[in-house]
Amino acid sequence: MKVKKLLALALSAAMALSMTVMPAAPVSASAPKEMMTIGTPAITDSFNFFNTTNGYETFSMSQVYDLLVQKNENSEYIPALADSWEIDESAQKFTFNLNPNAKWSTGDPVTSEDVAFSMEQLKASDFVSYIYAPLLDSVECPDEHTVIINLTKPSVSFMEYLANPYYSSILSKKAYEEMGDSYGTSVDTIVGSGPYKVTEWNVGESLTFEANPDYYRDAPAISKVKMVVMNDSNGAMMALQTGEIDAYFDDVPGVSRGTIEGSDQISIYDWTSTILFCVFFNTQNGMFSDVNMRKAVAMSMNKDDYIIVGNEGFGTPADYPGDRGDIGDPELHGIYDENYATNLDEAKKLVEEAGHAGEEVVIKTYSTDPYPALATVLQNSLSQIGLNARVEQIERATFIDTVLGKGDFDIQICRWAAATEDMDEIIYGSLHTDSIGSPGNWSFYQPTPEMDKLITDAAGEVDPAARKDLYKQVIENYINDMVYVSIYYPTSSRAYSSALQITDGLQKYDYFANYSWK
Amino acid sequence: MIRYVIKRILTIIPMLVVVMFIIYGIMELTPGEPARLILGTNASQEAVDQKTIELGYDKPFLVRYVNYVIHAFTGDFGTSWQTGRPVFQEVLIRFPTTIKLAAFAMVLAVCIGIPLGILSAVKQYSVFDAVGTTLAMVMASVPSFWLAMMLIILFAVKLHLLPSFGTGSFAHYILPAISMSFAEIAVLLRFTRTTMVEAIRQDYVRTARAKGQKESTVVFGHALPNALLPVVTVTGTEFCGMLGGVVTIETVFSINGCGMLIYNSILKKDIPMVTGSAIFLTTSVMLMMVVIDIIYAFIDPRIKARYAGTAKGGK
Repeated sequence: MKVKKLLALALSAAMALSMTVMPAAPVSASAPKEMMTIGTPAITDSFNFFNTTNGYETFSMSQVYDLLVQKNENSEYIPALADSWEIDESAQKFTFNLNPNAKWSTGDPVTSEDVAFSMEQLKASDFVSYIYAPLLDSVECPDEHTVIINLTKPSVSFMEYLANPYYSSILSKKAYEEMGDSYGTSVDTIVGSGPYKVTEWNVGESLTFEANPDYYRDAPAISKVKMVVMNDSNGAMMALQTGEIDAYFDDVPGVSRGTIEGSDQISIYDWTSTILFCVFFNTQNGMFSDVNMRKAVAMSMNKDDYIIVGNEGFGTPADYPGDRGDIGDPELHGIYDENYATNLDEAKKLVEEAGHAGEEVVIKTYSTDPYPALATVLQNSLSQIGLNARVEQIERATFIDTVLGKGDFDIQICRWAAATEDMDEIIYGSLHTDSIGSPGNWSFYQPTPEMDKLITDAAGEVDPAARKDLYKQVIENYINDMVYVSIYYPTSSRAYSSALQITDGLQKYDYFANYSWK
Repeated sequence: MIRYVIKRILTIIPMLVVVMFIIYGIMELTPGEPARLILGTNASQEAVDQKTIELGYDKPFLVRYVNYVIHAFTGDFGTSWQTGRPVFQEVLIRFPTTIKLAAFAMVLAVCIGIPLGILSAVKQYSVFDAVGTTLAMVMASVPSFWLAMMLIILFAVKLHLLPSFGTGSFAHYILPAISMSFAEIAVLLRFTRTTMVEAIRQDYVRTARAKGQKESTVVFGHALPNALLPVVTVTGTEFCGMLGGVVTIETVFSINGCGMLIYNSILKKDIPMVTGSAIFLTTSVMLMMVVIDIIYAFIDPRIKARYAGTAKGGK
């Protein structure tokens, strides 16, 4: 009798469970919905742009805050808050004419004072001041809708920074000053002029956006968007297949790629990332301060092996930093192989001549994927040229502090990313004296004064052909000195429901407003 | 009995101070300049130095530790370096999610593991026993993240029956809870079987059978209550372990719980958040252990009798 009762109870529980479960499904992946759901590895912890890390957090803020200019699918500048602009011949004076219809979500007009205030905040920001502090001289506001930005030195790439939501955002002076420390900490303390406004915020979990009714340009096609945190990219790919999310704002993991590409309900768009995986040498101390040792390492490497191991084959070998066709790229394709095509005998000979054969080399790297695997490939390369290499994996925080910050290494594998597509950020950041120990110049490379001058001149050269020629000389010096080995650019991608449409080329900017339902 | 409860609760305080010292000390020993980690590699040294002072890291370790303990006992675990919000508030937002997930998984483990363990013991060396013990071995061997992915593929992607991530409804908890409960089912199954087999061989069980009592009364009335005593402790310990070990499942299912919070905070070296949430979880585990001890005292007549005797003796 008791057994029967237990059985009945168990069956009732199972039925109750089934009834709870069933309403959750099924989900259609193709039907247009009222709300678009976007998965992202992180949402912002604060909407105070000037005081917030600019990584995945930027996706949250760039929907709400506008820029002076944006870029289109062909990477050309297009109007945003500024209707038009003018750059003087010296590339030091930038004049912007603001759209008179632009309004803040409070109803107040966007004025030149707001732009001037934002520029000053960017200059002081702990996160982006390294760009603006050395560059910004003064900002003038001749009238309510005209802003003149004067730079301390010529910079053709200044527009790249202004068009980049990682580096720039225009915020309301009035709101920011009135709200003080509470600015950007809750839904009602966010004041933007962008196409969307935040309506709900579950910290660390999700953000809901609705189209800004006061937006000064065409209203976005999708009026409601939810952004949810999805830490696991493979989990995100499954959610994309079930239709629980409509797009994922991060790269498609290699392991899920086959499935995603085979699905007619999901579209995928690839481009070559600005991220560059490199082998950095300590050019100041140790055996790799000898240029011939650096050349030996360069000759020992087969870059395709690194792409397979590091990114499951999805990447593009790099000849030098910026050779993705970035603005100012001298297009010296093949220059790496011309000088350092894989040649183990020659590399071994260089190591022997330098007197380091059989010596121990420690390859330092992050302890997270894909670095240990990449370091193992390098270990194999170094072993083949007569070095006794071992890999030391270091926890992220320690790596940043000791290796990148203090230069405590001989050779290391790391990556760095320029957020802009201009050679200035890439070359100045990785080869100029001022950048020693900063992201990019983690080889602690000390260039000659002539090399520094070439880099500075190229930054301010307004004639594209002359600029390319200057960068050509810089790259030739980089190759001759083998400052660091540029290994590869991983393939970046965005996967999204086939029910959505977006102009190819715009996917990489991660703006909701660029998407619409078919 | 009240004396016993008070005594158990009071032991938490010194343990907490020691745990705080250990956690705080470990975070101190980890290399890396906090200010540099917060501001990133691009920030100037001046900005980093300023931030160091702002964080109080220009002061000696002991000064910071004592300040921390004093504030912690008033409920102030500091402010997160990443979010700028109070640590306590951030943990409290996520704690119910983690508790719900762990509790659901534990309920599943108890409802499946204990009955199967009893069945295996009662039908020792039978097909039921062989199936039960083999099942336990398999369940203990399956990695939870792999199982989670397989469940998602089957129930979310293929069958469209359950959601694959998030915590919006009861349905959202089913797959994570099943993934978490697998290993626990195995533990409880094997443990219950062992204790039950021992209990069945005791003299009092033989006596009960000799008196002609029904087999169900012998098993459920005499053997089971005694066999379950250590199972209660193991269940409690496993539940506490779950609270600290949910990070894998929370990651796979994108659940905004305490495990994810600690994991992300460690990656960003958000020391106040890591320390505060670790202490919060430690306190929860300690309280849970106290509750288990109290339950144990209630169901074990020996403990009850001991404290009842002490009370009567006036000691």
